[in-house]
Amino acid sequence: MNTTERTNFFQGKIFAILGVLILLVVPNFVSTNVQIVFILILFYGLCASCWNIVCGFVGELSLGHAVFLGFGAYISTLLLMDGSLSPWVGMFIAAIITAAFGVIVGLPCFRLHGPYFALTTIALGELIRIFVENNEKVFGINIRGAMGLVLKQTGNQFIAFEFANKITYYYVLVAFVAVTILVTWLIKNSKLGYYLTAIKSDPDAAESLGIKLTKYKLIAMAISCFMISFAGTFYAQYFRYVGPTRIFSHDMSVQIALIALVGGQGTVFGPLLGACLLVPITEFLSEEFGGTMPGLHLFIYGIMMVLVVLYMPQGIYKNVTGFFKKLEYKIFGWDKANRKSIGKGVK
Amino acid sequence: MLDSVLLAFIYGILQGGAYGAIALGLSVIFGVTRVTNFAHGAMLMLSTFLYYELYTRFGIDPYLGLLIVTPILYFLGMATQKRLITPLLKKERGTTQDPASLLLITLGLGYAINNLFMMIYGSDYKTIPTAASKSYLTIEVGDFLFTTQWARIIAFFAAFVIGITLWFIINKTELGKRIRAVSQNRDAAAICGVDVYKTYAIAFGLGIAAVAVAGACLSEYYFVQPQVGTLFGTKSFLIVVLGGLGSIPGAILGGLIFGVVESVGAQFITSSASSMLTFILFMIMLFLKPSGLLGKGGKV
Amino acid sequence: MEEIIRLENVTKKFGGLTAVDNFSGAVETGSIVGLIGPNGAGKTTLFNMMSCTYPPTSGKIFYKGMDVTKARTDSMAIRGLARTFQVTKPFGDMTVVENFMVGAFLHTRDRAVARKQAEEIYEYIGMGCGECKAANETTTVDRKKLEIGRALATKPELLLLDEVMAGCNPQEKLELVETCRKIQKSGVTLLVIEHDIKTIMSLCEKIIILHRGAKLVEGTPSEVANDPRAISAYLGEDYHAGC
Repeated sequence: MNTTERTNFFQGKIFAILGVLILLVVPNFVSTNVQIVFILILFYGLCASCWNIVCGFVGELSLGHAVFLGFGAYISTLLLMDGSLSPWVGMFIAAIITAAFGVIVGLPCFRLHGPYFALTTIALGELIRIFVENNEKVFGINIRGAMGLVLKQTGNQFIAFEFANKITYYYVLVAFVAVTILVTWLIKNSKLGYYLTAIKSDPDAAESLGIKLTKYKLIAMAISCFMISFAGTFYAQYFRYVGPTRIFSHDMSVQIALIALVGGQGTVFGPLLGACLLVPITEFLSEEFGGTMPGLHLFIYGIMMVLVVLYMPQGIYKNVTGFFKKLEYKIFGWDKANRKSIGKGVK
Repeated sequence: MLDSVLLAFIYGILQGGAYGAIALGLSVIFGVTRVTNFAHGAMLMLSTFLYYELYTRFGIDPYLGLLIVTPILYFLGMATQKRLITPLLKKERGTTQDPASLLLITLGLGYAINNLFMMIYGSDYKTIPTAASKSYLTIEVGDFLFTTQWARIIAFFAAFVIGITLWFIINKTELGKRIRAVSQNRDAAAICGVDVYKTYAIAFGLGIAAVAVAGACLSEYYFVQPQVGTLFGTKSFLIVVLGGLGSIPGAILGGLIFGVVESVGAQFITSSASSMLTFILFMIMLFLKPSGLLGKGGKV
Repeated sequence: MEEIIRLENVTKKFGGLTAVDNFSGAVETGSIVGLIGPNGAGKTTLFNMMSCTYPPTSGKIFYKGMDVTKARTDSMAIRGLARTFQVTKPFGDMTVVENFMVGAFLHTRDRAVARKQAEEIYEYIGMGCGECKAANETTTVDRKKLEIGRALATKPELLLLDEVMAGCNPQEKLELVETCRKIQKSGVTLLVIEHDIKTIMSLCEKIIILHRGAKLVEGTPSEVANDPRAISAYLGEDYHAGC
């Protein structure tokens, strides 16, 4: 092991720390409109990170993850509206139900691979959307069909997960993202992470080493669904509205997947990075041209996807971090021996 | 009651033929190149807009416009394969394989095309009011009147024409021999002197040309709108998996089953709920026999 | 001597093709047994059935006296059976040591423990670059060693080696033979598929020759070498007549 590498904790991380600081501090000093963009960045970053926990690590492409987002939103909101249960408690109930649902769905789906898996998740997503749109009641619970659930504005109440200003919402979201990133990091550096990466590389070899494929895939699925359900609760509370047409939509699922893939699947910070890049671009574009050219931002998503697959199949994460590290060396002039060891990994 | 079900059945068969026509190209592309073309629906939508432009600007009926649009889409398909998919296939021959990238690139392409047209044309529904869409065929079925546009009947038969043409090209021509060789074993075919990537491009082009023909039939009676592609694209996938990925008769059979299930199902529940039936049918099929009704088996 | 694995009348059919035909045999604990035969004789099919990749069409497989005919692949690893693959299957995105860690995780949840065991195996097996990505291991011998090391990391009692020496030069073969001996001495039973007769004769205590899915000859290297059936299977039916 190269000991010089640890001489300075900040070495090689300066821009990463700077980025985190920007996300933490800057939203305090900008207009509400910009705060909204920051919230969307973190929201999509959160969803993409959750998607990454199962799909990024296992290597199967889920194009129906909006279902689990919607489950979280619906359950916690229904608990609040019909059961007067605080979303802070409800979101945990929602998360547990969503995780259980994810496992039930995953059990048959994980027998399929590649396009078959992707198609099944699309079909599942569409199935749930159409079902919710066409049913006023399920098991006696009033889900209000295509109308969706509208939450009344009651003012600034912590217990009801309702805040007067955007910045409070933002910091709640920061906490969610931090937990998700931490969970991802823990997975990546644990037995589970190693097993999932092995399954992704070669399922046959993994199985011969005693890895129960379905078990570990389902664990990842449960964690992913558990976490994305929180994002759903946030969505409902922030927008004060949950409609099946948007939250269960195919577009939502694809957006979540694309952000994670552009960012870098299987990495800890990649999905968040993807959101930092894509969300501001698309928000700016739909702000500027949304009226005259609907679909422009989704067009950008598509083009980005094609370019990333062609030129950066691992996502932008590697290239972006590499670029900033180089920049850092240029600015601070760390010695050259270190630079080599960072560039290549320890030999 | 029985009559109305019978009527729904006939409507379903007609609609199913159109579904089959659209799904055929997708099935051929998968059968040869193993690419699940998520941009298939977008290509269909693109072709219908070309027909729309030809009709509104020059008054050319889509049935005639075929002669112009099909070659354009053929070359578009070839270009897609050459510029986007072949580079990935070449890269794949290295150390690590990532089949997901093939799926993603077509997904991205489809997304880009769909939203490009959304930007240009907006989400308004357009129609092409041709003769075939305005003339009706009426037959008495028991107490009911069976009425349908001639365009729908033409679309139904088009499925068989496209299917037989594709089957003939693949099974009876010199080009088809190369296509079959490549689809069975691309390395062995390469050793025998077949230009694998060129053959892939031709097969992809054929698949997209087939969807252009289906697009002509569809645009005669259906809306022209950017989101039409997504609707039919998703359905095509379900149909092709149901019938067996890569199987030509399977695509038509799958289409017919889908059409009937949707149409007859709508007699008993609401029509949007009946499209849920097709999703359920698809999932049951996948879990029981992933290779589809007429598929050749093999691991998924 | 105790038998670690025993096959009784095992047959495997793929459609109309009979890959393994009524095979019976056993491997004694602590021994090193060679399995040879021409291409398509059914050697790898036997391995796949022993590691429960697929069950036999008929017949039974006993591992340490227990019927494992219909067991799952992953459960066999826990019971102490590990294998390598003829076509190597490295986890390309991981480093070599991390590949070994995946194996080591079978008996521990602790990452540090797994890492330590993996590094020990890395020393033990003696290969190129431990912190390089496995996908970048380009030499055949290193790829084979990666397979062996990863299987060893699961602490097996029975190790199935599928053509680990194929494609290696004589020097490397000697090195691998030494490794196999070392592994055997540490108490692991070895069952080896190999094509190189000379190598396998020097390495194994017992040799089984498979021919068209059936057992042709079984015995010590010297017995096998002098068996006319073995000679005809390898050198062709007309070999004697020609002489």
